[in-house]
Amino acid sequence: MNVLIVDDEVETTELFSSFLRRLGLTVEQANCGQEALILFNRCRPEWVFLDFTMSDMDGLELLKKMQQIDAGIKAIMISGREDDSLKNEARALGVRDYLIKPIDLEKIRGIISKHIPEQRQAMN
Amino acid sequence: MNAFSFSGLLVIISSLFFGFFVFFRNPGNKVNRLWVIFSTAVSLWGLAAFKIGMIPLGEEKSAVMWWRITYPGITFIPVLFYHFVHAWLELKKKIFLVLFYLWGFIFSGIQWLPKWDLFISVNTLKPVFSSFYVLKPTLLLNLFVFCWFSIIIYSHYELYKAFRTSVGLRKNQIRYFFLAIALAFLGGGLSFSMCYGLDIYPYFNFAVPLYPAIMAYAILRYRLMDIRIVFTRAGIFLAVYAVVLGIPFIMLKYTGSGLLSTSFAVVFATIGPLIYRFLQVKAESVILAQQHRYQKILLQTAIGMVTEHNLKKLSKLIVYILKRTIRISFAAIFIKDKKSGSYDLKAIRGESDTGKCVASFRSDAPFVTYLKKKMESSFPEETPKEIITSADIISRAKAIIPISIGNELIGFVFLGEKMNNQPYSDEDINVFRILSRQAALAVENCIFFEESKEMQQRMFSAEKLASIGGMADGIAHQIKNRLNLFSLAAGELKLEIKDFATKHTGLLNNSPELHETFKYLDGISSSIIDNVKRTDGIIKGILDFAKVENKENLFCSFSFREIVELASRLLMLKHEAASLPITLTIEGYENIYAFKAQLTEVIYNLLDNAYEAIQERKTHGTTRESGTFVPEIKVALTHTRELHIIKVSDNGIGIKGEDTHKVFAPFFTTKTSYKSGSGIGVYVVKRIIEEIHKGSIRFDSSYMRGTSFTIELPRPDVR
Repeated sequence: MNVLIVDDEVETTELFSSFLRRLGLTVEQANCGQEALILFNRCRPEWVFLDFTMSDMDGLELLKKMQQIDAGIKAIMISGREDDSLKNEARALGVRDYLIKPIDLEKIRGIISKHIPEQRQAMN
Repeated sequence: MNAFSFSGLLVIISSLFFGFFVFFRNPGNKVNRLWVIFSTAVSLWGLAAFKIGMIPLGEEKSAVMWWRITYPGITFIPVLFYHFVHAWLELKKKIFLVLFYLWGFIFSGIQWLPKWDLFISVNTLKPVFSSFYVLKPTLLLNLFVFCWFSIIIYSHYELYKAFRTSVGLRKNQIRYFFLAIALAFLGGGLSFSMCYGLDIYPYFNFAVPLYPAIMAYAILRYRLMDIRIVFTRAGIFLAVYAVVLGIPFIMLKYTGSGLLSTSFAVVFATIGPLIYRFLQVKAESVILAQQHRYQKILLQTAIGMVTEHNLKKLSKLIVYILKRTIRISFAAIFIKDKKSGSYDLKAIRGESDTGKCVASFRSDAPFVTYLKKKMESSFPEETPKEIITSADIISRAKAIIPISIGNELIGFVFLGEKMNNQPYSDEDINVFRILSRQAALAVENCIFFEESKEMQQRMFSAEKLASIGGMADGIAHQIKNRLNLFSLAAGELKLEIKDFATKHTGLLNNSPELHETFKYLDGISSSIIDNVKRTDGIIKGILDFAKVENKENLFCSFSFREIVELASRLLMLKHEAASLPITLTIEGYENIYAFKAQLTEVIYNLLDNAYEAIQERKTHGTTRESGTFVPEIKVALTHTRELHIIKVSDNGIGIKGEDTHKVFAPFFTTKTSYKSGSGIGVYVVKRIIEEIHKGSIRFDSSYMRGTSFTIELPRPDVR
């Protein structure tokens, strides 16, 4: 099970991926939009965790580009901003979940156990 | 009719006319009543002159009868004059009054006694100027004249004493009295000279009719013309006309040329008024030099005032200039406060006890109402007593100048006594009128400047608030990123500890110390996560505060009970309380029209504060009441035709006096509980009520008693 984490803060991606690895996932991390696209192209992850705000592009823009590569990509947005219009835009792009920072790891665990078994079943 | 008789007629007419004129101006006043009686007595003397002057020589009996009829009047002239002075000066001593009246009665009665024809009878009369009869200098007449003059002199002594101690108007009034009485007694008193063989024809009687006019003027007018001016004008008038009429008269006498003297008379009569006017202006500018000087300064200042834009400075400038230039004991200025409508003391100068001066007059104070009606300079002599006594400063002021624009009274100025004890003159009043108009403009100008400055400040702070609102979003985002890291790091730490523990159970079991350390680290991690959550709560609060938006379409009618119950439930969750001491009373409809989600937040915030206040009182209250304190929170809803009124009150700790003005300020909190929020609750409540609902919120609180918030929301039909 392959996931990509994109956040412009290295420490955040480090800690987050460490957590996800503990849950048994294969994790790739990127710290900007360009890097994320390169990694995405190379690894083709099934899930992406996208930060909304990044230095070179915003999370939604990045998602659109990823969707051009792989229309079936499943994404979870993470944002410090609780903004209804952003949320709606994200939903319209098919984002599975919209999380507000600071992330509660317990919540992530819940989301993963909710979405990923389903994904596994579908794969099987 | 001879001149004696004619002068008598004039005395009758003028005494009675001015006597009754004064009387009818204010019949209720004792002084005015006494004056008309005195005038009647004087007119009796006039009657004597009038009748006796017309009696042909040889008819002594008729003369005796008329003297007898009119003598009581003459007798009572000094008595009534003293009585008038007594009442007018408000003298206390009654003994002389009684004595003088006794004397009056004796001498008016004495002549009627059968055997007492020693005073007025055919035997005691003598003819003078072969045209009328006067009394011979008998013993009784000597006594009579002595007493008569004694009483007059004593009355003047009292007047003089009062003159020495009196100030302002009163002093000027007494000056007039002296002038009038001098004229009267010059004319009247000299009549006695004929009795004593000093044969001066009583032309002076013609001076007598002048005095009632002067007296009436002095009694009735509040602001008498400066008497120096009266004298100067009269003197110049006499001098000019003595020349104007005298020269042609002399020419006629010596040259006998009627034509020449007439043409001179015409020329002089033409230039006479011009010379009079010229001399008058010259003379008065010398006499009134000081007064003219300060009037000129005041007018210049008045025009310069408009350049001052600071109300406080302007007020200080006005009182300073007034006090210095007019040389008065004090000056104070009150200006209307546009918000409260009251008139507040802005500046005062002079008098050591300024601290005692009333700081403000309410807009409905009797004095203010009086001045609004009058809208002219006011002087104590014409102000009703109850208004004078209503404030210390009014009773001390010698002139009050209203400052007005159109019909609006925007302030007033109190002026104290002039240092030289001179009264305020009509000319002063004209200057004050201009000063007042200029001051009004200057004050309006200042208020406008200050209002626009305030407006700019308010706009600036609104802008600042808006930009903080915008910034808050960005700052919050940054902080949330940091918090995210804390949260992830602490979570990671917890997981690491857990993983290690599962992998190395044996190791931990063998070393209790290691076990403890791990447990401790795990606790710290939990604490970090917990704190992250709470910090996030604060950030969320700030964002919510910045996000108050106007959403008209979200207004609807809903049950007030429902939102109170909802808020209570939330509160019980927050404080982990099984029950809350909340009672709800609703008068009339249960439904109200508002923005439901926001009003819920309002009620929640107020209940939260109420609950914390009760907890505070429980823990910090005095030990004495700890057993008896029964906490309660009351929520009440009532309606008026135009408003929904919501009241949330508690009997908690209350707000200390020094904190009351900060209650609605953002980020202000006195709560000590760790569960308390960011201190923006009440601020948000205020903004929700005022900005979104266009309502109002106020509170009333006393420390250790409790707090009560009252919210008024306009109903939809009046919104």
